[in-house]
Amino acid sequence: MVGAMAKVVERKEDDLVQKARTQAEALSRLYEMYYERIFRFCVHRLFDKEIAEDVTSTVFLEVARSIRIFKGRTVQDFQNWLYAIAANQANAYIRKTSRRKELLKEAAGLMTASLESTDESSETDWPKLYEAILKLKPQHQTIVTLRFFENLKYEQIARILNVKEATVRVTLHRILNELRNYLQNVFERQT
Amino acid sequence: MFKDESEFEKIVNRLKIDTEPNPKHREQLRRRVLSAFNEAGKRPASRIIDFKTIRRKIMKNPLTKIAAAAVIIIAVLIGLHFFSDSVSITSTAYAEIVERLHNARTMTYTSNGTTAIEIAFKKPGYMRTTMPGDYVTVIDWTQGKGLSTLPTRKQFIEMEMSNLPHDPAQQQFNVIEKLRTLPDRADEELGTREIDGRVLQGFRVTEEDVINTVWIDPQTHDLVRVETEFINAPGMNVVMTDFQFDVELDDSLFSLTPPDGYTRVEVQADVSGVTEQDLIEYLRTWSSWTKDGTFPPTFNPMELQKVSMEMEQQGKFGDGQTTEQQRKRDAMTMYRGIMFLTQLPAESNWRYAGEDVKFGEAGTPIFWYRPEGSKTYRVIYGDLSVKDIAPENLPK
Repeated sequence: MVGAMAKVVERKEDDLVQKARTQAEALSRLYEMYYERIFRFCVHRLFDKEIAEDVTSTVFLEVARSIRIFKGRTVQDFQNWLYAIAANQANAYIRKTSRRKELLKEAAGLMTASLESTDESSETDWPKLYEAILKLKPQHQTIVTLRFFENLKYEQIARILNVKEATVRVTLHRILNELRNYLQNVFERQT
Repeated sequence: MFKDESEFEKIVNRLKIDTEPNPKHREQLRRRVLSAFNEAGKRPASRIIDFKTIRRKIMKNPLTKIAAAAVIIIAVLIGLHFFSDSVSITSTAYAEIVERLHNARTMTYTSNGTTAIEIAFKKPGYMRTTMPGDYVTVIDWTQGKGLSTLPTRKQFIEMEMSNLPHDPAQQQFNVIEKLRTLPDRADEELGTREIDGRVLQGFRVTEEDVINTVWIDPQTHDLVRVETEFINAPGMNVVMTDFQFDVELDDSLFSLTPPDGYTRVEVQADVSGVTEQDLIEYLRTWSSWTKDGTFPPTFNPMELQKVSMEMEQQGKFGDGQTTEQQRKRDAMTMYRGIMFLTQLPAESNWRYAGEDVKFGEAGTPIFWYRPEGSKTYRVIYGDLSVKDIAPENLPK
């Protein structure tokens, strides 16, 4: 029963994607459905709410201008498309502003301020972890954000990035090794 | 230290990051999105229609149908050969180019508008443009300073640009920055096409009001051609070719020291608080220079320099004697007028239609744009009067 209802909702949402090509009301509903998710993704990529608002604006304005030629049919296609645009825009922002260092400082400050004080957390140097993430290639940062902050499945990340699922798995494995090695080196230098 | 993915996941889950959206931004953006959607609907969907029409024509004609099929077969064969890796070679080629653009210490290319302009770029922000007649402009974006030399007159112009936006990428027509900040992935892969005798792989990237089409040689992965289309300012479109990366470019090429024996024409350009009135004054000033009272033939600042020189050689400007002070004032008026344009946001949808229109033609619209947040457009007419006009009543 619940499964059947879910399918009905999914079909309605898919219809919404089709209608959004020509009807402003349908686009408005999709916007309401996805605004928070894209904004959250941008905050997790850029660590600054104001910048995240700017990038979110760019994403949805691009959607508004391009939805008529969007080839996807389902709400899942639409979501993947949104994330792909958001990932591109966030990467472009980081590149063109040369604000990496500032972002890093903000990120470190943000993390320190918002830590839950648990015994486990004290074992990890949070600002260093984020410094390590920001040293990754933009595409790899995107994978980390989609996987760990947005909790997306490998399959969906693969669709967003237009690569095979196995590639995402292997890349993520390498990313985690890279992060671990970086932190290990930092730890050794400190001790 | 985390051992595996699940431990890393736990670390991330313990973080508290404020991701609460601002309802005001959400609502404002919703309105902008719907407005952009409606605007896009009004614009002729040339890209979509053209593609569909071409496809329809190809498939109706038996000969072109066979040719199209052959192209598809060749594409599939190329695909089988190259796409065996987990990530397609085409995407990789594009990503490589983006990386090369981003990391290039120096870069040279030719910008082909109505005039071919040779451009050289050197990090951190030096640019040199050379136009026919050895008309050279050097700009140091880091200092906000520039130098133009006019060999025919043995004159130079030093530019002090105060109050420019700090981020060069924010300057709408800073094509180099647009190129250097292309996103990692293209929005669309266009497949192969023969251009100037070379088979090239195309990628299209749409960002805000700019569409970049990047053409790469699939064999060598060299960047061959970039077509930059400004959706809201068609007169600014450029095609860039002859790219070279990391060639030795001596610092002297970007020197802001004028050549010996040249005399100075100084321009102090304060671009703070430019308004519509600055543009009107620019139009008025230009039309007072021309013998027939016409407005500028183009709004493209790069091309305007060349066109002005040609117009002067053709005797299209009047012989009115002006003082040095007047010349400085005129240069400032011109600069502020152009800066008004470059600072208009993407959504303003500005258009210039003043070529061959004479000052005083009251019924002829020569420029229109939509101010931020406005539902109507501001339309400037040939007599330089201004009216607020609804979008549906704009000139076609």
